[in-house]
Amino acid sequence: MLSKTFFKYGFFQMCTLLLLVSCSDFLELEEPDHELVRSEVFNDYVSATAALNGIYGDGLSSAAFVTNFSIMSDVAAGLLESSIMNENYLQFLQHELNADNTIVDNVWLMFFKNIYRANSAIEGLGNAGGNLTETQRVTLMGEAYFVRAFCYFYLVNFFGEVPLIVSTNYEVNNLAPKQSAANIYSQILSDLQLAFELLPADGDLGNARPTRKAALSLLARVHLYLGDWEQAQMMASEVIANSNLYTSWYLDLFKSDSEETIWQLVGVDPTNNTGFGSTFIPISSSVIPNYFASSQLLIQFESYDERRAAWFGDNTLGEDKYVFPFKYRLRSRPPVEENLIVLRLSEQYLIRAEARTNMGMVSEALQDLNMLRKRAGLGEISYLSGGQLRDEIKSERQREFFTEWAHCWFDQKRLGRLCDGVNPLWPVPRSQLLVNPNLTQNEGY
Amino acid sequence: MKLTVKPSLFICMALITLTMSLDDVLAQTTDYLQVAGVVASGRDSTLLSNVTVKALPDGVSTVTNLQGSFNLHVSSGIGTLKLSLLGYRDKIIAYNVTSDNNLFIAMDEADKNLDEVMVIAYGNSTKRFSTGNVSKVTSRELDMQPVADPLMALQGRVPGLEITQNSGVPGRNVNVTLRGQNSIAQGSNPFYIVDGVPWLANSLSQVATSIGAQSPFVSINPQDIESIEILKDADATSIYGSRGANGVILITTKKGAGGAAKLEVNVHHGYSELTNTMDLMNTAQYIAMRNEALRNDQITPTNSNAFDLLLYDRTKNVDWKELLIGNNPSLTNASLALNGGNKQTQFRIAGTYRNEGSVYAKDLHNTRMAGSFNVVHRPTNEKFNVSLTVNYSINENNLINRDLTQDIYQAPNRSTYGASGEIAWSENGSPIRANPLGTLLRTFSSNSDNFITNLNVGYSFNPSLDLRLNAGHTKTILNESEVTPLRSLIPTTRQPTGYTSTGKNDFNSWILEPQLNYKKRIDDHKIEVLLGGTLQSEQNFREKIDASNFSSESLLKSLNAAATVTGVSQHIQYRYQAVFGRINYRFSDKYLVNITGRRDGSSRFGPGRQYANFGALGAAWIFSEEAFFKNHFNFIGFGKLRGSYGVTGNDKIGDYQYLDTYTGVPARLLPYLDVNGLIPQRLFNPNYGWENNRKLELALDLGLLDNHLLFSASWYRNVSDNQLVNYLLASQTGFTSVIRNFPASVENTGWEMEMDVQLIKRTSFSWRANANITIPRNSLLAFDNLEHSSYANTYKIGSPLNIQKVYRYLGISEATGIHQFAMEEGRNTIVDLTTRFFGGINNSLTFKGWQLDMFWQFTKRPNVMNYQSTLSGMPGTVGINQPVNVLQRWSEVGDVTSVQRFSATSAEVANANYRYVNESDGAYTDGSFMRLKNLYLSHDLNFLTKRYGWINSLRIYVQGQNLLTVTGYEGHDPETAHSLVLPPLRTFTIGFLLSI
Repeated sequence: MLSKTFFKYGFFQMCTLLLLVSCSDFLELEEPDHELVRSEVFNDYVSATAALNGIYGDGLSSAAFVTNFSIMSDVAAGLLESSIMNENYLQFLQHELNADNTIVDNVWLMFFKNIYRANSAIEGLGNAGGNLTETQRVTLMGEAYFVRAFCYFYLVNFFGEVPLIVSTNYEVNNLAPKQSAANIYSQILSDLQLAFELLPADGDLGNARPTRKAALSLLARVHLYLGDWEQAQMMASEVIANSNLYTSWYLDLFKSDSEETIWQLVGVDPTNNTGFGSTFIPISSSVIPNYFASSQLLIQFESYDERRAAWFGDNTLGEDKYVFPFKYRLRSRPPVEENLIVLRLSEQYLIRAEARTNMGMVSEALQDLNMLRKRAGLGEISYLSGGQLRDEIKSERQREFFTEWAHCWFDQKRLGRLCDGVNPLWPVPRSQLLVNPNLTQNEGY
Repeated sequence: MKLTVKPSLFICMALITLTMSLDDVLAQTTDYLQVAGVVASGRDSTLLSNVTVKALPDGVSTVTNLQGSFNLHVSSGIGTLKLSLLGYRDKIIAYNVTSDNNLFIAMDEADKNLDEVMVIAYGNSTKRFSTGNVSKVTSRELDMQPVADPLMALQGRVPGLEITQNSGVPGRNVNVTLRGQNSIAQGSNPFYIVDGVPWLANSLSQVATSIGAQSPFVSINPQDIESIEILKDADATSIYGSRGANGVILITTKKGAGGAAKLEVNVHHGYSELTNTMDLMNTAQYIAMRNEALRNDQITPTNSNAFDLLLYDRTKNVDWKELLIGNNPSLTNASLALNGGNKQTQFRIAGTYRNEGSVYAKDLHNTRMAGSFNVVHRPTNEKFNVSLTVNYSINENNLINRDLTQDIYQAPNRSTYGASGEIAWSENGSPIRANPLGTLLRTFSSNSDNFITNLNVGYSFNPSLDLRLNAGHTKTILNESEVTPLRSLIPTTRQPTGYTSTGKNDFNSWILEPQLNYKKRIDDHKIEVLLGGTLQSEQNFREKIDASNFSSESLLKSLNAAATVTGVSQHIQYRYQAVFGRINYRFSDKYLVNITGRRDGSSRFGPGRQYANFGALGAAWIFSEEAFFKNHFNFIGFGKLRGSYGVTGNDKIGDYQYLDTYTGVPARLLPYLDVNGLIPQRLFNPNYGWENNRKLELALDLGLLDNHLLFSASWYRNVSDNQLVNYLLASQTGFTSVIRNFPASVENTGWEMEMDVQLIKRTSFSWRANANITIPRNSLLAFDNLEHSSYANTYKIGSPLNIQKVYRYLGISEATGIHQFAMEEGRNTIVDLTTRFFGGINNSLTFKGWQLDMFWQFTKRPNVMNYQSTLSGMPGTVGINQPVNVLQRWSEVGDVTSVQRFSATSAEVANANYRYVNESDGAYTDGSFMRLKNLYLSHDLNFLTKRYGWINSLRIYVQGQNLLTVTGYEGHDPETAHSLVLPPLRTFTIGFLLSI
């Protein structure tokens, strides 16, 4: 009875039903409009460029982490003090970092996040299809290698041994153990070498994207840090030889059109030009600045040093005078005039001076140092012994690079100028030790 | 991809048409035979007219005349007759034309509770024969409550359904959980269906966030709802497969009733007021508190640390609570419904207007206009039927995007307006950073348009076989905008002009569900087979735009006048398809078996992971039908044991999570050079699959004393495993987590009991009471390596999901007046925030033309945030007023109290107040309460009906909502349990219902 009725009337309906719901591609959605599949990102020049821009804009320039680690490094180096008494700051000030420090945690995360993005770009561009010209493809590839080296340079200098992540495979990367600093440096050198070969000679694209000169500059720094004076001197010379005259006025040095800039990051925050400007410059002249220069920093400046007047501001409250860093002159935007300067020419003179000193070329080194002194409106130094010159270069680096990109903290570490008992390495964030059992804590934490 | 659907649709339509015409060809007329008889009530033998008598297998039918007799022409000599009449149980008897030309048929009166039609998944059932757990709330209960959100009308009335109001602000989202939280990281909302069309569970709000997101249910008009069915166990829900894990709520709107045209007018009007709020200090008390605080801290008042004492007027006394949230908003609801039709066609046309004001100091309101249209058509041959329902609603809300309850704690001697009537932004040189009166200058609007269409077409090939197609479409558009003019901000702000945020959310969904239903009764065997399919598609376009730096303050609504415009847009798609089946077998109305199964596919999963199978088995035994019980326990009128077990799934996870994609950098960022950055969206895991929810239920339904006492008890145990969590990764991977199925499982068990007693039933007086209680228990059964996961500080194995791990609180030191904590123990004290039990009690009395309904809701929640831990500043802080409750503070050595000593700046006191109390069990208190949720009194004006023939009925009524709350909670209200949130309001209305 049942089967008869079924066959008589139900057959077509069954077919209909099955036809309707068995079209298996019904569930295959078009790709979302607001997301782009990775393989397509690197198949097209504009979107591939955008993927690199994501690193510069969202990853490096707007993130508070650059401001944070630069400031905290200077606090640890004794150059800055603060009116904000928070726990993170106190740990840096008193050299009592602990593994839960959120700034440390964030620096670890942000550099690895950008390394992931660089790895993703390297992988994507390696398999890229035909919509990019070869020049476009290798240029972007060079940028990705450069970014990866840049991030590892900071990781190895802050943390010492770190995991070496060169792919996007999280199943593998999640448990990767630390690698020796030597291994990290050799990866940095080979990435920079590749970047140097792949990147265009100079600024068709301006200096808001890394160029061959940026790769050379960073190579010079890495060689200096590794004590390879010959290479450091050679590369710094090449950068200097390919640069414009060294004449910018101090107040213009951090503007986006400064001619001495080798690599800068364009600001993408609609309210600020740079994180430094909005952090250092006080809201008004009647408040205590967030951060102010320590006397240890201020005594390094000779009274006629133009940088002392140009790069500092002061707020006086009652009897207290607070001198705050004023390299970046704009607290908010508009106007839109300043970018975050990452690599600039002064460093190359100082790299060469230091390398030459160590190579025994004292008078040539002195020439480089005098380049900076002359520009600061100071008289030339005619003679210094090798040891004095080393000290003078170190001081000059503080005068030139305070608050910038952790230069002064790294200098103290590599030149052995840390006070007794100060740990040269930051701790591996405790959160990371918990999730990756293959990580080990740095000594002293 | 879209295209492939359409051909199959055409094929479907073509086939339906083809089979219909085939059927017409097959249908032939033959010589007729005759069957006739009389129908009477089985109780008192009165003759019954208007009984529908249908002969099977022929399918012809007729109705009995005033003398209860009928006469039917049939083609088969033997068959069955099916008799049905509203209020009576269907009767099916066999006939034989040779012998049955003068039948006498007795029909049994239906038991209103047991035999009332109940909507279930893809069909109907009754409480008597259902094998699953289904609760029903009818328009009767909905109509008694002056609420805007139909979900709010369910509060306390449905066992297993816990509804918590987050705020007393009209139109805000409410929390709904049906039998507990099943999922650790994914959605726990039930699956909502309005007239067969899936409805939104989540708010579409993008701009209104500070005040709480707008509930999507503001678009559903309670007056248009016929019934709401809540499906809970595996038997009732597993036919919804992956969408049924958190239970299903079916909303059915009113349909045309037929008969002579009837017009119903229902109007009520009333007002709401604040209830259960704390009293705040007046200026004298405030100044005394501040002085004591400064003394305790041993600091000298200066213009900066005591501007309220030195610069403000010490004699002024502003009642900020009254000023900001003291308005008594009015409420008006008017609806008009026209019902009518004939035997073939019935229709209903209705419209409702509802306007509800707000407690805020400005004319702000929520207005809804809703229209609904339904037509049901069934041609004379009854082979074919069609029902079309269209619901349209417009909801306009202009409530500011801030709950001003958080601003009532302004110093009572602070200025409101300056001398010339402008908003005061400073007083004697002391700036007033946030004057809440400034907030009132912002304008906000949230307008939603909602359009639901449902078409249901059925075709009966013969009495056993039906084909049905349910097609539905929903479109909801929500437009929001918030304009913040410069004058609403403190003048020293750095913004050059005001700013504007707008959001548009356009949600579209359609569903097609062809179903084939086969029904057969052979002697005592009754079998029903359902076979169907689902195709569902959702599209969601979202757009949010922020604009600032306008060329003029008067052009804040014009985007082209803005120098800075940033935006986000998204287009999200979701597709779903399934085939499902159900076999329902009933033997001699005693033994019931129900088997359901579904194969599901959802686009939220990656290739190869999209499909899964779900199913359930339900069985019931109506033991009261057994001769043994009938003979020995005849006080048991009805007794049923039932049980079910099955698997459902949860696909309430984000869309596209399995894709390896890049997306634009956050909208607040500008392009880098000329090209906006792209960043990787997530670490992708293409391999994740469904969360599975295994549901077990055992239940007993009893009807005693002629079914005057109905009792039912259910026990359930739902275990949800294969949990989809954000699995923590080392940040060296570039991300901190990835979505992944995880061997963790969550258990929800509980008891639900419901009792309904007809205490008195006489013609002039009746009293009926019912009560329900739910005792739920939620527990995390297993979680691999919990202590090393991102959930280490959130969960504990063996405890509910909703807990806090905190320090142990030791009370206030008698010596120092400061909170003490057992810090050395670490955060190892567990505060269980779950509800221990909840339910409601309703009493319904009628006396002549009077009717009184009284509904109490109760909830036992041992731990909710106490009033102190949710205040915005510690007692004594400069510029912040406090509730008078804090006057019981510690003031000298030896005081034993629960309020710390007053302090303005002491780091020790502040740390204890801000940092540790909220991380200790000292922040929690008992939030249990019992509430007279609803009172409804009505009177039928029968004399008018008699005098004026055109009046069918006229009833006048008064309604009250949230009338009385019995609680030991010290703060505003135990349900919202927050000092900065507007508590539920008390509402009174008066109205009439006229039917002509």
